[in-house]
Amino acid sequence: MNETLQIAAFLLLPILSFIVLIFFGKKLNGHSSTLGLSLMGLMLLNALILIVNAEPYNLTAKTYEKWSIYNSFEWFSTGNLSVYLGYYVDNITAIMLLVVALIGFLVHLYSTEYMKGDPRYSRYFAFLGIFIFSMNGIVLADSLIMMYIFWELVGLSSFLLIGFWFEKDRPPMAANKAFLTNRVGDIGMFIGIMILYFHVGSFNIKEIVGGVSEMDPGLLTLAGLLVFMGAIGKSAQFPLHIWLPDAMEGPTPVSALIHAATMVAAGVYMTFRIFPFLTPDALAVVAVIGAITALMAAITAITRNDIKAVLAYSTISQLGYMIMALGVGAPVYAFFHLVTHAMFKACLFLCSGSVIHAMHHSLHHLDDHHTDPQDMSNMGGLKDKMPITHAAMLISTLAIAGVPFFSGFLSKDGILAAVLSYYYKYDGWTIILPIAGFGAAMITAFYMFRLIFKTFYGIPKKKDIYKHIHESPLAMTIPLMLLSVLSFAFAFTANLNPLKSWGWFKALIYKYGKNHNFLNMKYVNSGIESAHYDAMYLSLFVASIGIALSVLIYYLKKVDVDKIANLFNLVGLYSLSKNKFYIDKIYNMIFYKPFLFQTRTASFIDWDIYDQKIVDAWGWITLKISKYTGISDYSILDQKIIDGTSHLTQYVSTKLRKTQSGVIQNYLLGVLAILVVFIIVINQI
Amino acid sequence: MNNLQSIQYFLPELLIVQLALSIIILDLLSLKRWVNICVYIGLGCSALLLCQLSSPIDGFHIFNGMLINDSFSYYFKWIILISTASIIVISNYSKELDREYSVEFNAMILFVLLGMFLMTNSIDLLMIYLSIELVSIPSYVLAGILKNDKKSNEASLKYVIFGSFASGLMLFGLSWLYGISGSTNIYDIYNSLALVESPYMIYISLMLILVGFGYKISMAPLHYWTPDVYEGSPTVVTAFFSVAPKAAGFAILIRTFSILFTDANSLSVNTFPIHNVNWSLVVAVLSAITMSIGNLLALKQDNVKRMLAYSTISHVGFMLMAFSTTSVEGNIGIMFYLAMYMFMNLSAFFMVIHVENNFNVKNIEDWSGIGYKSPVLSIFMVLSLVSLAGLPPTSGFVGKVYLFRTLFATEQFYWLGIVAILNSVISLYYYFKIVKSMYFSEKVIEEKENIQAPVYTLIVLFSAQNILFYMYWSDLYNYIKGLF
Amino acid sequence: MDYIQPYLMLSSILFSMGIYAVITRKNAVAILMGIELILNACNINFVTFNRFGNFATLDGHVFTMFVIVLAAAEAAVALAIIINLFKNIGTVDVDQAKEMKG
Repeated sequence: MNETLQIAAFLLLPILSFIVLIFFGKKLNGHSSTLGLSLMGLMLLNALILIVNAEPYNLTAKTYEKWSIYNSFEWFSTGNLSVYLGYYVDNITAIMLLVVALIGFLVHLYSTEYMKGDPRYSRYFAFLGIFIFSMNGIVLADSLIMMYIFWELVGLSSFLLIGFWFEKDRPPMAANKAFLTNRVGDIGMFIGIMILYFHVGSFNIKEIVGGVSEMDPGLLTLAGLLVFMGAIGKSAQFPLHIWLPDAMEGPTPVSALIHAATMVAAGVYMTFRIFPFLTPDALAVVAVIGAITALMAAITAITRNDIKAVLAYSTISQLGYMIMALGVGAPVYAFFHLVTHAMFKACLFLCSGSVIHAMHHSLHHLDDHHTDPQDMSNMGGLKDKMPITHAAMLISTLAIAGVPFFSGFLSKDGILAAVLSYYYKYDGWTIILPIAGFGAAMITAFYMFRLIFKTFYGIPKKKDIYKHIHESPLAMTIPLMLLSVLSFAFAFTANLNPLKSWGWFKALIYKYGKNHNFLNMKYVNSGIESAHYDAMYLSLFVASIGIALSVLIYYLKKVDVDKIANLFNLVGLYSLSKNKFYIDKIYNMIFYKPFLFQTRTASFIDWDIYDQKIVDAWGWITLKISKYTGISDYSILDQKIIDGTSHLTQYVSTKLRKTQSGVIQNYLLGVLAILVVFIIVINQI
Repeated sequence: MNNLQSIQYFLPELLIVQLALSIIILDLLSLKRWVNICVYIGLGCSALLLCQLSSPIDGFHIFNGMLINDSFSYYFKWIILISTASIIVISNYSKELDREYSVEFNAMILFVLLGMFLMTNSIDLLMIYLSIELVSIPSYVLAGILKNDKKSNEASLKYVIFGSFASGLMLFGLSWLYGISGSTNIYDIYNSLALVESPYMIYISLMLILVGFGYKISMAPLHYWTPDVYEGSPTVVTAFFSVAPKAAGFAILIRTFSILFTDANSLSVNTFPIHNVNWSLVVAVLSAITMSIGNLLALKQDNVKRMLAYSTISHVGFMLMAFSTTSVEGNIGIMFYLAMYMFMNLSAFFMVIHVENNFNVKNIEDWSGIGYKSPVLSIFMVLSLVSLAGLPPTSGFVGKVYLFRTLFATEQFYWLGIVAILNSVISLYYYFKIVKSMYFSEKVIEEKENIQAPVYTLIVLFSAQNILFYMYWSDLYNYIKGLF
Repeated sequence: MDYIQPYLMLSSILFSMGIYAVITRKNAVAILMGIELILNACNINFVTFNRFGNFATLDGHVFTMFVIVLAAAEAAVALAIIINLFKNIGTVDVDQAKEMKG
């Protein structure tokens, strides 16, 4: 019972924060952050206690039994259907909870300053509360159905937070886009869950893993990929990644919490949980999707000028890494990268927030409302004015670029080793995986240093803005310092070599990734180990090329940027990157234009509601399939049936009202008439 | 069981009689300020007494076979007691009621409460008639308690004429039943009915009795009084009428019909209509008419109370749908639904009272802007309306699922299921009319909201169950199942 | 007379007359009288059945007593309401009381 209470606290504390702040936020106002912060502090403490209890792998004892606590309660049962809700806590869960609690706490702390003066200050913290509640729900869930419920809740809270500044034009649209794009993935996930349920008879993940062996392999592949579709949506994988860059319209701390560290990692976490029953075919698809995402997002990031857009695409790219690692059979490294990435990416986002904050104040001081505070071409030379932010950002950039002694090196190395061993094993087309992996690693190093140089080095682009830049207050810099410390490798292990090393983190996750329904994991793991040194040298090599190029172009300015751009444009790469691979436009072509053409309502529709049209187009496609006759006009159908029914009911209602005439004797007559009719008619039947 | 032994099973009712009489005496002695305390303590005590009365489903026949005390009536008594007690609490905060008559008001409600308790217990024709009249006569007075209000007066006039007409018809049916069987105890009558050769007289008296019960639960075509009386009566009284008498009406309907007019004289077995008198078809048809009339007429209403009256009719139709299966599951479904219906309907009515007290509004359009003026309560109101409409994530959805399930499980009247589903769709429209008015119209309300703690608490408490029972209803359902 | 039929005919006629009065008379008091007729028809039924049915107990008679008492109570309340109606709208014509409808 004590354990249950301790676990329940992970849900109760944030939801308490939400309830109190949503109802009494107005009265607390300034103190609402204190409340949220202290509740998060309690949660962080709780997570630390949990992780101390978690049992590390003992090299000498070699116990493979996993430490776990779990419990479940019947939610409801009707007939044969019983649905249970419960939690399942093991080392992975404990680490995830710690990550969520830590980043959540730091973001709360950071936001106390960042959101100061916002008219809906308390509402913001309330939303953060419900987000963390639902995120913890996903992490704790022992069954896919419970995960799905919280999955939707996370979508909802993300919707609320992205659209937090709903007075502006773009945030509500971005929120809609995120919500609807995610929905496409979620539909697949739900269908997948249902397929699994009907074949296994349970929603519980452990039982599904144990019970899928009798399923038809083709169907299992399909079901696994359908469930994975949820991860494609939530973890912003190709082709559903389009929502994440737009989601940067939300407040920056929110981007750090949700769109870098926690929510987008939920897809990876979920795939980690379902990994044991994904068939090799499904895993190959997963790996390819991850590879495409990693490379494409990295290329796109090169040409972004908005500081947050760079980070957004970088996030997509890194998530692609994790998904790719899962696909090639290295879930442990995917999870490792998830944790290290959470630290340095949150740090990067919070740093960018600090820069934007400073820019914003400076612009405010100058009474300038036109200059974009997020545009890097207005920055430069901020190094001296904002030393702490600069140091933190540099450290986390080194981490993400995969430089030794930093955490990113450890985890990325593992992933690349896995990818390389996968290629060694299968050969052939799988060459694209290491190409994408190492290519993206190089590009990542390049564009991250581009960001650093453009923002912090060189001469300031706009002198008057530069003059009013100040370092952010302590509440904002403390999280930066803490997170940058966690971006060092020694925070996770004392050794440079991630495979031979033996840090606390490795000890905690060592037991995982040993079992798979179809793959011999022992074999896979030894393959990864043997490919490790190749991967390490290669990755060091590509990272240094990326950094060197960046130094040449942006720091020393030896090479002209435009020339390089033209050079790459010979193969169309530059405009591909500049236009984000035309993905938004392709969607426009595939889903939107034909719909316009067919329905002949083009004049009513414009680009702004394109997002809704994706969803509508799905509806239209299903309609088209079912009604191949050519009754294609969705809106007319809609109007005729729905409105017609509504008119009919309204008409009947008007007529029926006359029976209620207000004269009591008419009522009595009505009663008698119907009574007589019933006595006569029904008795004859 | 003889009269003296029976008293131990009759303590809550006795206490209520004592209470009603003693507050009248207190009023005569000019001790009016003690009345409220007295009523609260008395109701609390009768709840305590009720706690220890739980009996098996076969129960004890008390007062020489006049009443029965069983688990079925026990459950209904709780619903009736909770809703009545909350009405008594709320009535103290209604601005509409005349303070001068508060004692009479309380006394009337207590007499109705006694009558409803007896309705759940009656197994004798005499007690059936008496208990229905004991509920009706004070109800006429309650409807017209605003003496100088024309609408209230009209409501009570219509109510008294319609009510006494319907109970007259029922009495005629009862007299025929007595003539056929020679007894007034329904178990004895059942034994005699089994020997009757021509079911024709049974059918006529059955229909006449259905008139009496149908009038109590406002089943079509006996729904006519409902909208007029609900609109004219003070809102507190309307809230009262919409739940407790309906529960009592269903209790007496289920008990009488299941014992008298089916093959088995027990509540705890699935059974078929007696002598092939196809009254379950009658109930099914009437249920379809009831829910359709309720929903269709609610569409065009402007007055909130009148709209809620039609909504009540439609809910009765849904419950009758489960009753038409004449199965134990159907009865369980009705009992389950009634518990949820009580909470969601009462919380909606309490919100109407709260809004009327503070902003003096009657029509749906006047509700515009309430969502911003009274934000917290409005959220709970929306929750209750969603629940009334039967959408997830609320208990109304769960309750409706069970009603539908019994219908489809017994594999008869599929057409009724389709009608019911269509009706559920229609009902969305008018409930959301209120929501739309609350949130999407811009009207500045100058009046300041004056929050009264008990009203506030009751709305929040009653409305919160919409979520609670949605999340976790198995215990309640299993409890009801265990009663049979 | 030792036949049951005349009594039942009497009660049926009374019942029908009562219903006719309730439905056609505009005067509220007359409607009330119609209801009394219905109740009396029931009373006659009860007494008749008890008398001719060779039943062991006097349930029917007792029932009648209760109905008479209840009819009085109901009439008292109804009359009070009708008087109040007269005070409010100046007439006892039930057709005038149709403010609420639809």
